[in-house]
Amino acid sequence: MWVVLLTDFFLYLLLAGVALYVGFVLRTPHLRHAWRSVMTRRGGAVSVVVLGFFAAIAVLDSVHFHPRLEQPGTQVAYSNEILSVFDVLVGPLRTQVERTYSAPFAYHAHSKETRETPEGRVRVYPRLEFGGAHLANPEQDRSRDIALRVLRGMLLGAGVWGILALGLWQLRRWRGRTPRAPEEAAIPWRSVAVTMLLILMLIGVVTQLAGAYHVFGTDKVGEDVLYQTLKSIRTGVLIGTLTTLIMLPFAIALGITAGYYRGWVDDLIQYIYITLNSIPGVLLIAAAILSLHVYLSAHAEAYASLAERADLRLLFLCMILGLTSWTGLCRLLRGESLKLREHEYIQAAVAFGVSGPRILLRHILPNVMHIVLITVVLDFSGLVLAEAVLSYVDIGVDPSMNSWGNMINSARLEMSREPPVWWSLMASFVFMFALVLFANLLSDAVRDAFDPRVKR
Amino acid sequence: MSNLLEVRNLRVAFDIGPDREVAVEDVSFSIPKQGTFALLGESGSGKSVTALSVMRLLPEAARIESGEIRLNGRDLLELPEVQMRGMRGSTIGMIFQEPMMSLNPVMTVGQQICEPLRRHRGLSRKASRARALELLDAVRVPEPRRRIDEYPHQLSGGMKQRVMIAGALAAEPELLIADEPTTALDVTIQAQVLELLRDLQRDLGMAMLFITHDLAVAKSMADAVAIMQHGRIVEAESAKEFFGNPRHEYSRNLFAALPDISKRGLRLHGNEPGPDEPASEPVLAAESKPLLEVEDLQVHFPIRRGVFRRTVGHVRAVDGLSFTLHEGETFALVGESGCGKTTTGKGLIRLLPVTHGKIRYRGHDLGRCSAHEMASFRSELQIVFQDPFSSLNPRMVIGDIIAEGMQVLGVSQGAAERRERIEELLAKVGLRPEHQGRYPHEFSGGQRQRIAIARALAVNPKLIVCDEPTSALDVTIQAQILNLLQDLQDRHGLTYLFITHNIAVVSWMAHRMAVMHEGRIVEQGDTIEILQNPQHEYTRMLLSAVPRL
Repeated sequence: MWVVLLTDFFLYLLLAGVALYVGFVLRTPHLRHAWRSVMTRRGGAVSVVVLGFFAAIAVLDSVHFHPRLEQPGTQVAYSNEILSVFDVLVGPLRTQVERTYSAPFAYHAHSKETRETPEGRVRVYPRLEFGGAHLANPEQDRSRDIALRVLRGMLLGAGVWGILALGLWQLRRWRGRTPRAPEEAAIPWRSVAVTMLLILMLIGVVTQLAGAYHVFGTDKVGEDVLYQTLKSIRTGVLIGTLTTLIMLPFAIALGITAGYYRGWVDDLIQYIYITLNSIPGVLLIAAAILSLHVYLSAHAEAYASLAERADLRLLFLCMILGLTSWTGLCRLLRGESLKLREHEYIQAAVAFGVSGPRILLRHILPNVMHIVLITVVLDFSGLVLAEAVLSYVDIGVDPSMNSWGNMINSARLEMSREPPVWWSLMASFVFMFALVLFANLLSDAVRDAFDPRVKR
Repeated sequence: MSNLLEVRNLRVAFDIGPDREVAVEDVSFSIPKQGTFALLGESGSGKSVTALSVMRLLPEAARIESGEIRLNGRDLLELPEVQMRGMRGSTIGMIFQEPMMSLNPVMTVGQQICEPLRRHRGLSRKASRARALELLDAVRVPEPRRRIDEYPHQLSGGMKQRVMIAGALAAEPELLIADEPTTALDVTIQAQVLELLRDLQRDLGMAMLFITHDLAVAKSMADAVAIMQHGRIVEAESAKEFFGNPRHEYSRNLFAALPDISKRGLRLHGNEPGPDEPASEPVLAAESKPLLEVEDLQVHFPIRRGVFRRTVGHVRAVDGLSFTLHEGETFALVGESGCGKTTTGKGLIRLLPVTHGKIRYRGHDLGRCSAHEMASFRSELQIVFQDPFSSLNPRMVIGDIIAEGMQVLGVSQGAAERRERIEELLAKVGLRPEHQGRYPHEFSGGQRQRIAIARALAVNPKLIVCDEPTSALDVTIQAQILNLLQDLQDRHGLTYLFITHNIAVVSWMAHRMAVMHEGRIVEQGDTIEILQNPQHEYTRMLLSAVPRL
């Protein structure tokens, strides 16, 4: 039975928006040209590919359903639990749960336990239920087994890549080469291909290893850390995109209105964002999250599952982040509109008696969209990091939700254990770093392509 | 007399992507000591590139491919950069077109002039200041003692250009390169600056390379002239010979393209295809009715200060204008920058709020109309702006730009009819129907101005306010646009309010004119009468400042 959570709904909305935008870009020459020049930069093309994989995981993880319960009889019953397509795809990652902490690639637990043996009580490292369970003699066989699996995974990845590449090449030959306009630079297909190969090989290796080992170890309750980090991608991507979705209408509408109409409208809007800007953001977010908390405890019956509550909290966090972060873009757009309104094509429109709202839509908005796009891409990585910081101080997403912020938060205690549990922190760091790095690379390329001041 | 500067077979090319574009090819000329040499040409002809090559200040992408530039017999292209740096500002001085862009806004006037003095002459702080005061006095800056400690934003345009000249002259260069030094200035200021340059040249005995697009300015300055087209010198001659009897066809065309009182009623030569038939003489039917009557028009801008933005005073941009526009005539509003002529034009069609006065149009007072009533007049009152690069929305295709007014004002019903009309309009202004799917950046300045005219024509206006429609264009393009405006007037009986600072254009096309000064009209009447017999003192000063051919 399919379930559409609130954030899922917004993500689908966003996807539809992106699809519309892509269609619009293809029909608009100057946008097509600018996006093409994003893709002709090596950094831009590579980060589009990498971010594409992140986005794919986030989308797969956003198609939710209640699994059917195996039950005798004709009655069809559904579990209360909410799973996503991604959960099904990764299979063993989700289900192979140990009892507690274990290190990456370990075959025994992280700490000793007391066991009753015929010789009396001894303290030993118990074998894990799943990690390395297939090895009869783990001390000797483990490295060889891992090496074999890595090799097999790489071959698998390369094979898939080869089939894909061959198929695309054939398709291209079949469709015939479209001649490229001489002034347009080539898209660095080689870099794209190498990135794809690396990613596919990485996926191959992980699939080969993940069934038999915990690649990033397990956490306090024995959950696979790799699974947690992969699930966190959705949280990060949602925070980064939904927040902008919520912030954009405010920023654009208020910004260009203030800049175009000036006078008391401008004064009013300026006072609003100056006031909002002078309240510490963290304080506002904390207050909002706490009041939501109170609301949820008062209306506990309205929310069937933990997942729905966590989801509502995520959406609320996006909203409050959006409400506190539109001021920067609004300021930029106000300034730009102040400049644009003096342009003579706007005055020509006024001379035709074109109404104010229509001038805003037809003349000002299309001429500030490059600023909006650059800001959105630049803000994305900032918001992903903001989530980590907020969850660290306990005003972020719900503790039951997988997120890098929550993982880092729990690492606070884990790192103070002896010997320390470092893998949670490391895994979330690596993934968050990759996402933010490639988002920044992309934003660099986007800025170069769209900012009229960076003319080469 | 030996030559100070000799340029031989200069060839400069720009790297553009994988290609190289030659900007200057086979340019040779020489300037004798104390001589003035003018390089004439339209935009893109390579005259500025030639000047920058002499300074070796070309942009990164440009490269001097061959040729030599000898100053006092030494080839500048062979010098190491260190020595070249020593030459710039000391042996060769340069002044640029934009005085606002070439002075550093955070340095005082004194600091900017003293910099080359201390660098090249090794003067002490005190001595350089004394010398700077002398220089400011020499370029006739009033109150040099006060001005020396002021910042550029406190100076007027003409004053800034004087400061620039003082800076260029500080180290007493042997050669002064002046790149369009008066293009951004008003005619009266231009006359003063040109006179100043002539006097300084005589007193200091330096040579001058004078770059300009203005034939009249070149005539008033130069001993010898070279005219450039597409990177080549097409004619080089002594000034007397050139202005007396230009030999090359291109030079002759340039002269023919200049509007002038003697060409009234004739088409200007604009290098355009089409019949070269004489246009009709701009005479008006005596019984033409008044179309628009303006009475005591005032447009004031409030000056607001403080936290609550209280109005503490007014800038009286337009201060009591009265004039009448007759049907089918061209009425020129002439004046220098800041005299309120553009404000008048915008006030008339209510792009700016009118403070006081009556604008009677067909029995209605436009100044008192509500926005709703005004909407019914919008189609009859249109405007064409000065800057063809900011008057078209870069994000809209030409078809949409022209269609916008028609849609809003409901001129043509239905998409097919509108499309047909757009094609008709494009043909009327000399563009092709397939242009409607393109974006503004694909067009040149002249073509953009044609599009702006088509946009105004789309709604069948009776009156078009032309706000300096040709001042950003080259002379041949200007000639084309002026011819077009004239043709349209003949065919559709349009009335123009022609706002300009260019007396030559007025003398060619206006029936009547008004001279504005500080928000008021000082003199108005028949164009020829005013030009030949100006009554007001300001008009006389303005007319005498115009350089003549």
